[in-house]
Amino acid sequence: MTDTNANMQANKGVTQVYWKTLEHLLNPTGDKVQDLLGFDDEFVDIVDYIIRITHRIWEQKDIGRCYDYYADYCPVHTLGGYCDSVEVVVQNTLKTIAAFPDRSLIGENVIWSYDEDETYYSSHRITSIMTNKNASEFGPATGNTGRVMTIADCVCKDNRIVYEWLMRDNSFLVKQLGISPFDAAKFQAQQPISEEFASWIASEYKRVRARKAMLTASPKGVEEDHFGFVSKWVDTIFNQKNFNQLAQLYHLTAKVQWPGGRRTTGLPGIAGILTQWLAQCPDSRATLDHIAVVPFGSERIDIAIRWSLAGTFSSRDAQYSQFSGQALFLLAATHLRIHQGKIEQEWTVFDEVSMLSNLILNQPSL
Amino acid sequence: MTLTKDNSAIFDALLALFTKGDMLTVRSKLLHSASWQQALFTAYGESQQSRLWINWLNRCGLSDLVEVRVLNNGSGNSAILAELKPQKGQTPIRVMLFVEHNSLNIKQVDLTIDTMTLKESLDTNSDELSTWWPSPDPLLISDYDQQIHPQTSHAKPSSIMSSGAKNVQTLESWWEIWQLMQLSHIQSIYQKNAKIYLPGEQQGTSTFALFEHVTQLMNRLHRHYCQLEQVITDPEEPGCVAVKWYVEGDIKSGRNVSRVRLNLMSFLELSDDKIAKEYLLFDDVAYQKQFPDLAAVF
Repeated sequence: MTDTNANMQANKGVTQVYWKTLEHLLNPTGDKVQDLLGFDDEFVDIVDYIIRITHRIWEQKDIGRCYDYYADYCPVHTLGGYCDSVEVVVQNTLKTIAAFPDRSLIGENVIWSYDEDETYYSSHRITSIMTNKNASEFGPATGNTGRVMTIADCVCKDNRIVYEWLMRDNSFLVKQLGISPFDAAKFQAQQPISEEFASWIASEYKRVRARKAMLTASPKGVEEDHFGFVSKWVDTIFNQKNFNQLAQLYHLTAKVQWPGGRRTTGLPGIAGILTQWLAQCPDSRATLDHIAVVPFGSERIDIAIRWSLAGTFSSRDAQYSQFSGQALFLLAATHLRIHQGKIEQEWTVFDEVSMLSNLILNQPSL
Repeated sequence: MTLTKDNSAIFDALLALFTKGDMLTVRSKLLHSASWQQALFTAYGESQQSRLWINWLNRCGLSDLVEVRVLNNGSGNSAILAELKPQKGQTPIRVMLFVEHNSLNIKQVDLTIDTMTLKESLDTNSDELSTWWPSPDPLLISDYDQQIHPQTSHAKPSSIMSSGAKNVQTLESWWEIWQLMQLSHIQSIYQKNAKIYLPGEQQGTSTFALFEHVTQLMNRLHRHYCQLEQVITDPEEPGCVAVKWYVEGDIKSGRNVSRVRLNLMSFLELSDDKIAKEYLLFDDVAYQKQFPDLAAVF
């Protein structure tokens, strides 16, 4: 797999977050490098748009700017719920800031693609630091500070986010807050779920079980071999479970971060994470639902993947075995850094608290 | 990456935090998205990082810089081994930093403090130190097959060092002492009068103590596996190597078996293809906070 190509060269000049100071990110200099038709003139590219609107809403706490940057009708999918109006986006943002008043969002990377019809797709990896000062979706306030990684995948058009998938590593967060993921899930399960959410998760489960990927061919702007690599990653790991083939995908010192504090370096540890996690859903099937590829420096590429997994939950853990036999659905996102054709670093994010909450609520209900 | 400026400003800023309490300078070097890992706790953002530093400065005071060694690989990764003498301590302590930077700004700092030397310096014990030591990030180790099978792939120094790097063969042998427990290498790759600074060791000891150390650790850990994370060499310091690595293994305690991870940093000085000096840094207080129900490994 080549790490650069003509399309990637064309993308050079678009903001790359990694080495940028905050001052530079908030005050970009230089000319626009993308047309961004329909977007405000102040934005020089789609990365700049995402970084600055996130900063305004979350860091500056101008929650009402959601009205400027979200479409009135904007479906937002998480593993814990569904909403589709900007009003609810504003309300949820306000509630989160009330529970975690010092929440700060540190943009780690924005991997993007230009899809078509002046529509951009962004996959924004964020590290948040937040102190739990008031009751939250996980229970009463603990007063503890935690860190959490989020990947927000957004479809952006005409200066607004028109569709969003939000993945947050809540099991890692609640452990720092002093709450067990299962207790957090039980608290979350007390909240009613909407008919729309129940309908969505059931249909998504059926789609993935039928192996109907949202993406079946290399999309516009993504090289065939990049698409092939990611398809192989999904298929080798989640469908075939051939872990000795990880050597074809990962470098010997590849660093991998998975939810709940799973961190490892090297092939044996990576195989361990995958084996242990997938053992609780041994008949799992996964689909590749979106891919975006951008260059990182001159020798590497960054890939953002949105993927879904469905199967039958099966646990021997005394705490969770009561849910064995139930359907399990997972909405997940992964960012990969590729060097010389193999993964050098991986960040995979999904919400294990909501996954457990859905098991408690028997969702998807088939 | 082309480094455009002398890296000394980065290193001076990091050390001035400990020697002068100069927070503004180090803050000015850290990117908004920079992480600072210390005691297995990863601090992001000014608030968390400042809290970490003020905690250290309050407990240890400013430090005198006794000795420092810096390796810079020329592509944005550096290692700093420093001996600091805290004002509130009696004896010097060792710290080691792995730093990712671009000469202007710092993206990542991974700092290990040898808490055994710190305990001695402050004349305190693990229990007291752990009351103010940062709480490590949650860690979930997923178990795996630790065996080196003929068809499996494992990192070793030669697989991650540039082909032209010096001392690769010696480093391969050094790694085999840990990964494969090939203890006979201790006799062949160390100079006879080599000085070994094991965790907590102030004066430096001999290869005999290293033999004891390796066998004691590997006897304590069942199903052990060593994983290389990073190797830093410096073209201008061809006789020195810094290595970040960890060893995982099972520890039996009664009927319970727990898998643990020991994060380690090594700094090697070589002469005539043999190791003349070795520093091994380990934060045993952070380890004990991460695995609180287990006895110390050293």
